[in-house]
Amino acid sequence: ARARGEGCGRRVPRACEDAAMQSSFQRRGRRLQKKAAADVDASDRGAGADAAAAAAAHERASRKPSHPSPSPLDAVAPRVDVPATHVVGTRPGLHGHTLVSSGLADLDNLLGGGVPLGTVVVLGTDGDPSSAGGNACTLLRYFVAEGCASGHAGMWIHPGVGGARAGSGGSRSVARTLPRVVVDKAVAADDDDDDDGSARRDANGDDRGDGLRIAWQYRRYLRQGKALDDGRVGGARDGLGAGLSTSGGGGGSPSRRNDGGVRRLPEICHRFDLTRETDPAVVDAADLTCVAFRTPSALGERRPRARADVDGDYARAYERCRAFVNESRSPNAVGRIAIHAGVDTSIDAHAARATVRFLRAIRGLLRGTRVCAVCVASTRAGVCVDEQCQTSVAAMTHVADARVDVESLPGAPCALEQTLPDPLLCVGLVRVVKIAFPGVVGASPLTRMDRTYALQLRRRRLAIAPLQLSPADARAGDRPGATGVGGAGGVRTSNLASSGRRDAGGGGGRRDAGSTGKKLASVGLCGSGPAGDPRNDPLDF
Amino acid sequence: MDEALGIRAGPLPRGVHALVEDEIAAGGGFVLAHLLARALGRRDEDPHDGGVEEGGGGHRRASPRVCLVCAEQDFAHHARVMGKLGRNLRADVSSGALAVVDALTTPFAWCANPGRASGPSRAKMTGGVEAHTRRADASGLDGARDLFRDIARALGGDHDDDDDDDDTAGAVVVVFDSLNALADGEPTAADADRAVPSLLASVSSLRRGSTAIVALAHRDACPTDGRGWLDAARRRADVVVSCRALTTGHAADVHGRVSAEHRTGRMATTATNGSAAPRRVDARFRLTELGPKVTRVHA
Repeated sequence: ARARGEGCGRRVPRACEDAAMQSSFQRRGRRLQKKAAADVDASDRGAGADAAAAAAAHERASRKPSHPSPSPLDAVAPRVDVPATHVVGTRPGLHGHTLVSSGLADLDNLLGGGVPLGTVVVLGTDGDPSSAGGNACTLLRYFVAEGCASGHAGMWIHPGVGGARAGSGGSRSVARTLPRVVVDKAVAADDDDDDDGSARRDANGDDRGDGLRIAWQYRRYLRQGKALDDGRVGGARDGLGAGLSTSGGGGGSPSRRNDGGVRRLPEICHRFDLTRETDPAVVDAADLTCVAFRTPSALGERRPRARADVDGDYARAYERCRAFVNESRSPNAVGRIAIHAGVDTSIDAHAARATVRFLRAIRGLLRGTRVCAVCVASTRAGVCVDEQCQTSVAAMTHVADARVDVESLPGAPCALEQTLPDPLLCVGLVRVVKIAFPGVVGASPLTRMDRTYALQLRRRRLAIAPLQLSPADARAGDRPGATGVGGAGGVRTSNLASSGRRDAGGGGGRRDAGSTGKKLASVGLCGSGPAGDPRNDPLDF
Repeated sequence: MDEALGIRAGPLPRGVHALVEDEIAAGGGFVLAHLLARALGRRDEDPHDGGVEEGGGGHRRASPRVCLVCAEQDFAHHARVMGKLGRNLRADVSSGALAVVDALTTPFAWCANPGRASGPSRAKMTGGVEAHTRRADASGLDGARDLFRDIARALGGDHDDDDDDDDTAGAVVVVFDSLNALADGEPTAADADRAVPSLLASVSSLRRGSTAIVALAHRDACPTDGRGWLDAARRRADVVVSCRALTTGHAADVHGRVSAEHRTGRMATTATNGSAAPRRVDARFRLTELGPKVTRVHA
């Protein structure tokens, strides 16, 4: 049509020569018509340009890539074709990392957005390492469940019986312990209001009563206000990792604007229900392999494990991991390895050393790949008199790219209880010991080290909330070099550690926290201001 | 950082040993990066530096000046970290100034031989195991011996360099990003206590003893009985740079303490007034994304 000199069929009417006779409506109409004509012409040109670009792209794709001459750099840093398309369940991070969710949005915030591919994260536990009921194992199940929900390939090394694909034979019982993904928006909304909703239900006797009484715009304001108070950690409902789309998926959605007009990163964390077992159909459909760390014959043995047996178990686990990593998949495929060996490194020096070597081998195996690993390891100190056991905890921490300890609450009454947010909901403590992902030297600017958080069990999910200090205590800690507490808010482990307990990975002295009373200030985590800046204290008027 | 720690500026002296110790709460990677940058030196000072190969012009060096043994982090990590400090490691590799030995992805012997007790027999390796896989043998030195061969091969053999006998001239430098990684690869702690000092001694003997060594060790992951490999490395070192966390906890402007203990004085600066240089220098450091800020602490 353009070749024939025709447009798209529209003609701009001739302007009226008598400008005095024109009305505002006529002028506006002519402007709109001109604009429409201009848009149509632009679309014609664009269509032509798009066609040319598509043809050029197709020609490039069909053309075989020319391989440059080999350089010595290829031996140490081989060229990797990074897929340009977005992979479901991933999002970009700092320093060129690609992040996947750990399954718990609050834990993602502690780690700076998620677990980078090609790294190893250690979840330390002070309980029985062979037990599968600890909080650290629950976080590990979150990690596995998130992989199943996101369509990632997964391998779960557990201390129990099994060795087949998940969903078949003996592994079915292991896979059933995964939490169920929540796809119902109503249930997800219920979780958002679990703190206040429970009180309203007690008062009204109806768990849907507040939805009928509060108009929709006021409900939105209430949620925003709660998000501001909770900060990023513990208030992940409206921030990163919050919510689900109606399709039930939490990954792959493009960044969108929230009510404040701020563009957010893609949500990659699903919601899970700890009170319900996972759907067997989901497990069957997922690419998940459950592997027992020990052979079935060794599980019934009561004699102490020989050194060769421990080495053999780790060797088998390593070979399975290597086969998993080297398994041919699509270039965009993402893999997850969850490791729960159940080896008590606090009483066996050889087992401790073998664990360190295994972690180091896994780290070397995963570097530069699209697979990440989360491992549960015992970080109990003070039990073994052998110095090797005590140094193995530090060695494991150095090997891991990140270490997050999940500890139990102290049994004896202490000052810690006064800093717990909603003490009835707290089931443990979470402490970030190390975050040193590749490409970073020194402490990560996203997360302050050696901070303790409260691990809460809220009806159907776990949550990580910051401990609470009074404004006086927080400002006392803002001064550089202040004894025991540094930075704005947060509580250092050294303040709350029981007497005589010292971790090889922690630093700093010990100071008994004073009486803090109830909640007076809570500090955000990721994205919060620099340490020591009183302007970031929300209650500092 | 050199001024704050009382370290002599310029290229690393021949045959010098620098040991960097750190702990979890105070990582010493920034010191290692600084010494690596010093070892590589300025590219315009090297008459043999032919520039980036892809850029055309110039030629590659016949033998590298620095060998980086990646035992704890891969080369991409070091390249990114050094890039923030203004150093292009990839260009150094392309020009031949830097050689890299990958000891990170090395599979371990017990992985290829599950459940096999240590012994002198060499079992057949499966799964494409590289030649420098550590094998458990009676002496416990086979793995370290293989790694030494790789380092020597990366440096272009043990040919002599008689261009300059000046002690302060640039030397061949071998940088270990972690001695703990090498020690952890040995089957037992006793093997590690023999393997690591033997490896350091063997590497320093390259180029007729003129090879300098820069190594990083994690102090809190080593036993403190005085008989371990870390103590042996300390006794061999000319300067020991220690990074420690603050005893009072975190602070906004200081991330940790760093001290330099000059044991032989080969890397110590001379005082302006002619007096002897201090044996121990203390400083504070603060880490930023673009590099560390080191401030000397005056007694």
